[in-house]
Amino acid sequence: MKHKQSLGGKIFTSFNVVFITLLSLSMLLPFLHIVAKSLSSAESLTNGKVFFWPVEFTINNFEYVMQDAAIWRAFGISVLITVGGTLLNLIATASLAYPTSRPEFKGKKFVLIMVLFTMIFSVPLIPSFLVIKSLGMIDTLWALVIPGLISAFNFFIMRSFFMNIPSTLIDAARVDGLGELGILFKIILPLSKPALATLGIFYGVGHWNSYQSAIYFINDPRLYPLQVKLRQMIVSNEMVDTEANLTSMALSSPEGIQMATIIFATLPILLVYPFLQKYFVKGSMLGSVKE
Amino acid sequence: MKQRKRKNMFLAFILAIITAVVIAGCSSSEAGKEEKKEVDKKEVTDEKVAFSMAIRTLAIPHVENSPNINEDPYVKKIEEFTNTDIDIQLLPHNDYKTKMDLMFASGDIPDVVQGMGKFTNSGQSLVQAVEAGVFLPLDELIDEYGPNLKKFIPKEVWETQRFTDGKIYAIPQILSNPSRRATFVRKDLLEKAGLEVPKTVEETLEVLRAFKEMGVEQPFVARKGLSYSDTFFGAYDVQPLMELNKDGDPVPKYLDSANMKKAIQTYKTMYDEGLIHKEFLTQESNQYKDIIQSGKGGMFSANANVLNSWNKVLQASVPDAELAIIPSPVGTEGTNGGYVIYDPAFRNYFINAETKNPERIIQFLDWMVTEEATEFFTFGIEGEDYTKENGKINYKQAEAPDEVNKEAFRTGWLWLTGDAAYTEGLLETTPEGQQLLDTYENVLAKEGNGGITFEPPLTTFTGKPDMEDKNADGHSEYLHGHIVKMITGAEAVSDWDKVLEEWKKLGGDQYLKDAKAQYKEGKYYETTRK
Repeated sequence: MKHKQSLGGKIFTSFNVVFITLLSLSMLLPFLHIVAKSLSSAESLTNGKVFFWPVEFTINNFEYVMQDAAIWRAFGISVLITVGGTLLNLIATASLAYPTSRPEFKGKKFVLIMVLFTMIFSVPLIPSFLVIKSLGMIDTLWALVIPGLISAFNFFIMRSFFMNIPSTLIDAARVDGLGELGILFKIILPLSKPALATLGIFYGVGHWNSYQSAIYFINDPRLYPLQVKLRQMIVSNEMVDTEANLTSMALSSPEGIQMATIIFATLPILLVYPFLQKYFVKGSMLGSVKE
Repeated sequence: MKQRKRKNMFLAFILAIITAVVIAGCSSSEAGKEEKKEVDKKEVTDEKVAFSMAIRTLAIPHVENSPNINEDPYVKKIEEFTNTDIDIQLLPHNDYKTKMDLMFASGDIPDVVQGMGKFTNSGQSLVQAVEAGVFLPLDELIDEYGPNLKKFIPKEVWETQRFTDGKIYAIPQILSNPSRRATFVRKDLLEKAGLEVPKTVEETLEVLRAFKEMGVEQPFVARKGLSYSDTFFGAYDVQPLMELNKDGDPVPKYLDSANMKKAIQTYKTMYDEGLIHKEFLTQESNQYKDIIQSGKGGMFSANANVLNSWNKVLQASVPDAELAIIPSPVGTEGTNGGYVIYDPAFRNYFINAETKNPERIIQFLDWMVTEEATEFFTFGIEGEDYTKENGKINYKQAEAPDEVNKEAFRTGWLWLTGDAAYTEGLLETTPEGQQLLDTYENVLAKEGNGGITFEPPLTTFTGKPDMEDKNADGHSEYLHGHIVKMITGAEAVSDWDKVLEEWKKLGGDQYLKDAKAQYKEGKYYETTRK
């Protein structure tokens, strides 16, 4: 594959390398900084000694975070809505994407326009709150899963993937006596693993990061997901000068504990990526080649 | 940012529609309400009364970490004392206003709703709810069932709880000392430099120069937006507050161009000489705190009540260090120096018009300012938090984080109508606390700048958030931009008059007109020192 590069090409390549290195460093270094801080002692933190390597290495911060029952509860909630919610998302999206991807379905234009509509106009908060409330979903985890069950964007990605599956294959399955549900689950989905993995990541990260809807639709602190908890821990440190006026200043969570919480809240979803990567690379090229 | 603003506007629009519906729906039930109140007045039930309360968490760790705040032993104890069954519904500290909007929009309104001191501090939906008759007017109920509240809360504070219709709608939690911020100095460094406590701006600059020579990294710790760094605007009395001019019309204090220029010049001098950090414009509150607590700061401004806890943290890394509160520097003869004075009410409590036993709720809040309640909220549960010997209280000082959090929860959050400035009984138990009380009384009570506050606020700059002054947190973004340019030398300080001309063209003139009109209508109050 080796071939000579022109001068312009060389300049372009080296510029690319420099640019992309800088770009990735700008994302990686803050993360490293947080990791280093989460593993450093409180004293070195107040003295501002920590940059990219832990100073006075300690795992105290993590111990403190882990022994907090509230964090584990929130963690459990987050895992539940991420795993359960993503599964429901994929099933629902696929069952809408399959029929609309097939030419024999007549009403699909109308359905597509309706879906597109939700992509352009999003529902304001108060009406959606009223709907969720009248459906009795306030203070339940359903409020975090049902309203976003099918994301229009993800739906269109999945639909275009399904459209690339040859009709002849489906016809063959029909001839062999498979029903439509059977076709979806036995033919289409197994062929669509890259799409499922990609969209699974999109949905999963969305659920893992769910914060606002939890704040608005959930009142019971026992049902708060991890991100809400994380936000609380960060805010109590900013409290120095907000409205609250307390005699004995409540002990705010020190920086190291905050950083440990951030790592604790980010790591699990980060760990999912490598496992799905082989699908992910294929998946994100979806729709870029048209036969 | 822009998108969010648009979102907020849209929200407000939706809200307006909903409120219109609510108003229409409520007016029919008005007649029935009057009757019911008559019946209630005759006898107060002795039975256990259940009611719900929506209260903001204030980011208090003990509240936010509690799996169920209604099962908390202190809450249980209050129920025991008052023969009630309370159901506390927590409102998150952030997104508090949105959550309030949702609450009013959905119509699920608890028996008691907590506001943030003023009608307008808690979002537009609360004001609209009061207008729509969602809450009870309380004047008579307080006269009848709240004798202790009446005694405990000063008349001026009650006045701030009157709505435009002249009735009191909320029970306030007082802030007994509204001069809350203070000027701090490293007393040990001051002594080392052999200097006296500075009184004027010039003397203060001398002290800062001495600190710089001694190698203090940031002689004055300034912060982003000059928030908590307005010491010298205070010294020349040009903070973004309203005062009366010679003609008796309300004007913002920064129109006083001569003093404003002196104040900006002071910051410029500090910037040029390196007495404030060159990058102060990006210094966030946590960096500021780190600088101070690691002993790299010489002088700064903070809330007075952090004195003892910050001293402790600082001394952990610099054993000889000692922070002290000093009188804020004064620039112009005849001014006080100091910081913007706060509203005299911290939180306030509205009672739902549809609640069954409003008199018992008043009595519940009234109990909180009795002697029995004061002892409970100050010291906690006997046998657990303190012991009593011959009437003398031995309080177990809070040491571990959990204990400190519990104490803050009890004294600062659960004590709904206790003094929000400090818990006197608790400060009295330690020598440092007594000293802080003394500082409140002798230093802070003598400084601070008040002004005229409009209620409801002026709407001239609605939709022009850049022009809106941020009260205790500084001048409007527009003015602040020019101030910063002058400090860093990009614009000349002498151009302040030009800036004001520009400001007037951009809506300032209308603002002054509106202020004058509303002042004449009497819809304002003045914040004053203790």
